[in-house]
Amino acid sequence: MSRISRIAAAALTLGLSSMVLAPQAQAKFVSPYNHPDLDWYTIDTEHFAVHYPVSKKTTEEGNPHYINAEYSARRSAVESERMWPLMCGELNYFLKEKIHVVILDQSDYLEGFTIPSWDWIEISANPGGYFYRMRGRGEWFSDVLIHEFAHVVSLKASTSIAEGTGGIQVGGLYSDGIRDMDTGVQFYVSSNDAWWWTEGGAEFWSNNTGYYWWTSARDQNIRMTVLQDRLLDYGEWESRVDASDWGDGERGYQQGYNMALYIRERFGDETMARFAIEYSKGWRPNWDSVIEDVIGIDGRTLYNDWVAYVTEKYKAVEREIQAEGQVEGLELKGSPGSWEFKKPSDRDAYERSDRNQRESERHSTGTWELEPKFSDDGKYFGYNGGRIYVSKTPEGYFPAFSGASTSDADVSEDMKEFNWSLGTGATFSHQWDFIPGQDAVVLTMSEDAMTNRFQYWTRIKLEEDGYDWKQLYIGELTKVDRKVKGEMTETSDPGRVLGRAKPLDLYTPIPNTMRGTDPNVSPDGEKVVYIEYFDGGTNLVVINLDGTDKTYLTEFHDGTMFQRPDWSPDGTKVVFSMFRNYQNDLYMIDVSSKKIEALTWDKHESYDPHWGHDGLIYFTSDPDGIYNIYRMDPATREVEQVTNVLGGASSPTLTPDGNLVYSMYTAFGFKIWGLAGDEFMLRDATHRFNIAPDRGEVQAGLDYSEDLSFLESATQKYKFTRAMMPPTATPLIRYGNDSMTNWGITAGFQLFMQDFVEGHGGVIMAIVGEDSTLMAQYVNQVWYPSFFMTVYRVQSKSDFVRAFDADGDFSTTADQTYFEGEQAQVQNMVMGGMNYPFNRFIDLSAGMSAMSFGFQTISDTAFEPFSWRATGFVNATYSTISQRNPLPLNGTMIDLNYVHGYTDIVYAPYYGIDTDDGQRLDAYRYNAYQGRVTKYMPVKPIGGWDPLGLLSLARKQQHTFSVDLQGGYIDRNVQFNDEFRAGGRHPYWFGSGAVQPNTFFAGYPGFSLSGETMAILNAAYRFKVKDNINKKIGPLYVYRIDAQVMGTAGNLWSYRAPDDASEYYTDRFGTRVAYDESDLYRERPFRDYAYKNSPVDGAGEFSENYFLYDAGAEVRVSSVMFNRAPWNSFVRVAYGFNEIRGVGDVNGDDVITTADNGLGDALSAESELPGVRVYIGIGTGW
Amino acid sequence: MKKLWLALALILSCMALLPTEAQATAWEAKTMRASLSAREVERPLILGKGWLELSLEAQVKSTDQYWGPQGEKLEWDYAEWLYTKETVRVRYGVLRRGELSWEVPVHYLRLQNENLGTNTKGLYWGDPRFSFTFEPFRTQVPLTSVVVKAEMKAPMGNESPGSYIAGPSTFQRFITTTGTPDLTLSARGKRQFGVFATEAGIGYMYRFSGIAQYLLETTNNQLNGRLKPGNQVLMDASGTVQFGPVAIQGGLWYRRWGTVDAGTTSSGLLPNGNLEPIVGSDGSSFGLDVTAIGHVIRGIDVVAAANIPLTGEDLMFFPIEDLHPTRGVTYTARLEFRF
Repeated sequence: MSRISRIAAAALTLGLSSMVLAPQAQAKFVSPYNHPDLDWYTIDTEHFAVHYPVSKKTTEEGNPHYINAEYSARRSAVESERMWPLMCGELNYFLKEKIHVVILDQSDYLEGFTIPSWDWIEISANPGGYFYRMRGRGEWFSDVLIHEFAHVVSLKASTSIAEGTGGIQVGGLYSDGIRDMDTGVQFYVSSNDAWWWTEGGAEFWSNNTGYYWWTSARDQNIRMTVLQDRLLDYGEWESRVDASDWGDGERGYQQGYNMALYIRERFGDETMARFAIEYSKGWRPNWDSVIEDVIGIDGRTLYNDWVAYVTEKYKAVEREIQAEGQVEGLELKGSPGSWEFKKPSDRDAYERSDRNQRESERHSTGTWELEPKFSDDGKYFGYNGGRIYVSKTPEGYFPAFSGASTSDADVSEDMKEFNWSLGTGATFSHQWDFIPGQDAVVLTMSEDAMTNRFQYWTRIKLEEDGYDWKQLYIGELTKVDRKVKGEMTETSDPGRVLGRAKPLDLYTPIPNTMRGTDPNVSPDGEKVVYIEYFDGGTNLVVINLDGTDKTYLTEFHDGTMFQRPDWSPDGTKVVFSMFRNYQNDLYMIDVSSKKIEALTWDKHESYDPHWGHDGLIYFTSDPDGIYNIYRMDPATREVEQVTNVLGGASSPTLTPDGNLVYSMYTAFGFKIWGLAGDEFMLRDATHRFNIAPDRGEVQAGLDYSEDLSFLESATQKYKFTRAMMPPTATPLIRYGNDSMTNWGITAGFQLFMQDFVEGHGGVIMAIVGEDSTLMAQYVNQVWYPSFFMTVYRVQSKSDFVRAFDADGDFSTTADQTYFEGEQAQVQNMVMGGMNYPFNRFIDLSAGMSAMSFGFQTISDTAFEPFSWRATGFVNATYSTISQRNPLPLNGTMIDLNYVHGYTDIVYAPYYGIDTDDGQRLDAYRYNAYQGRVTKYMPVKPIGGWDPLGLLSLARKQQHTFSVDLQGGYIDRNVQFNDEFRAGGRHPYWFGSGAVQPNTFFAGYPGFSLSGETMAILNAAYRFKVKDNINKKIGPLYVYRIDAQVMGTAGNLWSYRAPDDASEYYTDRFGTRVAYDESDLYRERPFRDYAYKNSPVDGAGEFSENYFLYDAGAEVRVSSVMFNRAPWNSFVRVAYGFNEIRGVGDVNGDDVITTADNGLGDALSAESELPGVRVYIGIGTGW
Repeated sequence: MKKLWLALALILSCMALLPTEAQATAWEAKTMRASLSAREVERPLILGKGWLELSLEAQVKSTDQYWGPQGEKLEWDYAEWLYTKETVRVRYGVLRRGELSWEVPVHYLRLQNENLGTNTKGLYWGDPRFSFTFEPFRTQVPLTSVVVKAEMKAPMGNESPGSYIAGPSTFQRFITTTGTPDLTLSARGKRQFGVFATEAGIGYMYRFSGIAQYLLETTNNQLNGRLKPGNQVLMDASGTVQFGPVAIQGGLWYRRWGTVDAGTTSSGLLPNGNLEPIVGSDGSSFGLDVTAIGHVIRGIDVVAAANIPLTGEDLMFFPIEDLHPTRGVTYTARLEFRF
């Protein structure tokens, strides 16, 4: 859980810093969609305020997405108050401030996070479908709340920096124009507690307060992590940043939890809390040192001690199981993996190989593979691996059942022809089923799944209601014509599956099954039993396959959670697992009478029941602390143990041939395993279960629901004015020598504030100094689109040195006159607009802005207006590039931008006009069109072409080729400030991120190139130099180095003054000005040289630049500072092949030369020679 | 004094900014906030973790006096100079022992000269300051607090006289900055003795050079020149006595400034190589402060003060308050809100 927690708080604050430089509507924390169809209510208790949504329209009023999270909120309010004294007592930190809990019920996906300094916990009412597999069965609300509340108390108690700020941002950029070197440095000083302590501590205190216990699920995680050598190393464990492979997130939590238990045992119950108290005494750059201060042992030694402890512990478990006889079968795959060595030399080679490569190979057989099953007729085999993978693989193909090794040559022709992957990510973890007698399956998918070719290719499927609930679908297998060679399909990109499989009209939603999951089809193929979610709980439902005759088998409204309903072979009963009133057991229900009967009644976690065709109920349970498959005779209730595994066995189903397929937990994911029927363990286990519960007690359990109605009087309509989050200010200290000779130190702060349900938010930024920025932004996220309004004022002073050359020949200096001066500039802008996400790929923005620009010299009594501008803009962005990954491997972004602008040049000293490209500009309108396509492509074998295996090697080393194409067109000659600009950029001022590569024309000075037409192509080849560096140096943790080579080609073209003397006159500066606008010459892209970007020598001869080129190389170092703040650095070297002319101090000598060069424009007469430019970013990102 | 009351009224009207009941959630006290005494003599020299202090301050000096080149007390016969400085100051206890502060002033200024028939006035930005204060040592009862502070001043104020030819009769705008940044390092200590407390501080201000728009450079045919104000030494000492919710503080201060350098820009990180000293631009000033601090209600203090320079020297430049305290009493009223 705690997906955001403190790390996100820091990231948010950093993100906001970028936001103020490019104002835009702020996205919400969890869902980008607003919900004007919801009312919000608040339950006020002594220490909490719980906010929850209720739909304005009921189902009867035609609302297909009716929500009422009242029960979830009441349950949360009660649980929160119960845990308050316990958790505050754990840290001896009794909160004065009220904590706000926001219940989300708009989505069907698990969520839970906290930002302690904002007194904010946000949880989903729906825990989704897989939470219990990772943590064990539990009551969702108390589970999630105790964890998040543990964060709130422990992080508040430990904070060394005041809660009103996320940290202090210090940075600057020094631009050395003479040496063509830009150097940026940035630090973000924030709290820096270690990840293991933060998350492991939350788990530990939840344990200490009696809410959590070390469940079999947690134990299987650490057991296999230890035995399969996947423990996070010390650096990964502290910072989390490099722990992103499968299971690393959960592994870190449980590793931390286990370590905390170890610390408790070795150093005492309060030791974890003492770390918090020690750190709160004062900020320190390296949190690690609190460990030694508290227990006298440094963190790394402690870690090593713990590793030795758990290794010995789980080795003993392994020996014990092996002594009993390990019964688990084999993984269902075609050929042995490299880790399944048979010779010592193979083992040695395997262990010498790269760790990432080893893990990658083991991940390649799947990581989230659950719910395996064969169709009743044995025709199909499939499983849920994030989608439903179905093949015509016969049972006998798998060595687990045949006892023989199988190679591709053994694969039947049938199997080669049929191999599907169906559905989208929504099916993740949920049960699915074949429809008997049909070539079809029933599965769970998103209601907004893109189910036809148009939607798939365009990604256009409007989600104007902002809901994406799960729903049951029928997927037909016969419509798939894809041929795959005899191996199971493996892809990690759910978005691509439909395109590969050409599944036009493949899916048919089953009506009336909204929020339905885990379907199981009756033996006669007519009905489906499934689980339906509402307000923090679920019920069992039966419905016909065509969506008619919907019948609720249960009608709980008290947080009851069902799991994996499965029909009996005769179709009269359904077996299922149910959690209610803090107890999890197996039950069966008679479908016609709806009578429920308990099959187990004990403390074990028994789930995943499957009623086999042999009449026995197969299920998962943990009576001895390890999940194994058991089977029960429903008539006698006798239980036998079927497997005896080291990892964890779940999702059992019986094959038509009487074999077992199930999902095995490993440190490399959930894998599909098979156990031949004649290898079943069949050890009597009846005595381990309570199979004869007291019927009265069971019925009492079924009937009891806690009465929470007393909270009605504490409930009121939500008012955002009473639910504003505490403001967060980030102090900003910056340095920039943008005015060349003066020190540009500025300081200020950024203040962020919003209400708890994120309907209203605002940012104020004030940075003052020689250059000052004042900015305020308000975002309204109440209606479907978000609306934003931004005002800002930038006031700055800049020094200048100008050289006027009498004869225009800059090789002679005696006639040059230098003027040193200073002027102040001011820019005021107001911008408003809207932002609307069509779906997770497409985003639309539109708005308007108005801006004034003016300056003041020594003789001006006020800022003289130079120009007024007003624009309207529309922007559409399509992106599949991960915004979270600073080194994306694949994805596409298309960005389209249209601006209609009006500019009025009003600068009085220039007689109300400005000259640009040979034209006197006064007031004009223009249209600007800009487009950009960015594509990242992982390097891999092309078809079967893989010369010398190099492409395969490149794939393993994460080589990526990217292209970035920018084009733009402005439909008239515009003043210089309205033109497109290009040139090398240092990311310090513009925000880091590879999605917006800063490598365009890095070989040329920043913003030096301009024009009304733009066409630029950038290409880059990036490759991993080294990962898993995992080097901790004080507060710095370095984990990866990448490098790339890149190059750019293109240009910007503009207008020229006429050459015919009869068509122009010269102004007082000697600039050629056309009599008639139509006599201006617009340069034709690709055919004309770019006049403005081409230098001229003393004799007036041009170096005609048709295209500009550059090439460069870059090294990127990925690291984090203070355990959590990304601190990515780079060195970029680029060579610009062309000599250029440009704008301002192009040659970087601190002197802007604006001589009368008779060229008919106001450009500087300087040129930049071909040469190397260097960019260094220390902690600035790239 | 009438203007002082006006300033106070303006500040008190800002109390409307105080959080209302409906906003209590956002502004309520946090558990992590350090304790802070209501009595001035018991307060350390930093706020403490979690405290935010917003203060609104008005300073007024109306004078027809000035210092002569040798420190003699002189008066203008026909001129009267009104100097006001309205400051918004934020102090934030970001760490248990660390505090950040910002202040942004604006100035309303007026110079009347009956002889010249001029009445120039205007409202301008002043120079913002930001600082970090660290408290390396503290005892609680009785209080001993020692802090070190680094403060930066940025030249945001107006540098343009509005005319190429500046001077008392021709300028159209007041200059409210040196046009250059400063870095001040200082140390301060406070010790409580029952209802009494003593406090003393010392600091050194390094003043960087910069191109100043009000400085014309004519020798080398340039537009503007570079100026480096003289570095300063600052010292003060005071005593405080507490009467219930009111503390009365009296103290002495001393300021010594070095010679101002001016010229053209040279190359290098500190481009001062071409600067020449302006003879007689150094000097010193000495005076006293009297301050009353009243704790009105929880979270609100009112401060009234008078600053009386006893000795001083000629300004050498047009009166920029920041360069040199002019002769005359400065009255201060300040309202402090703490959250």
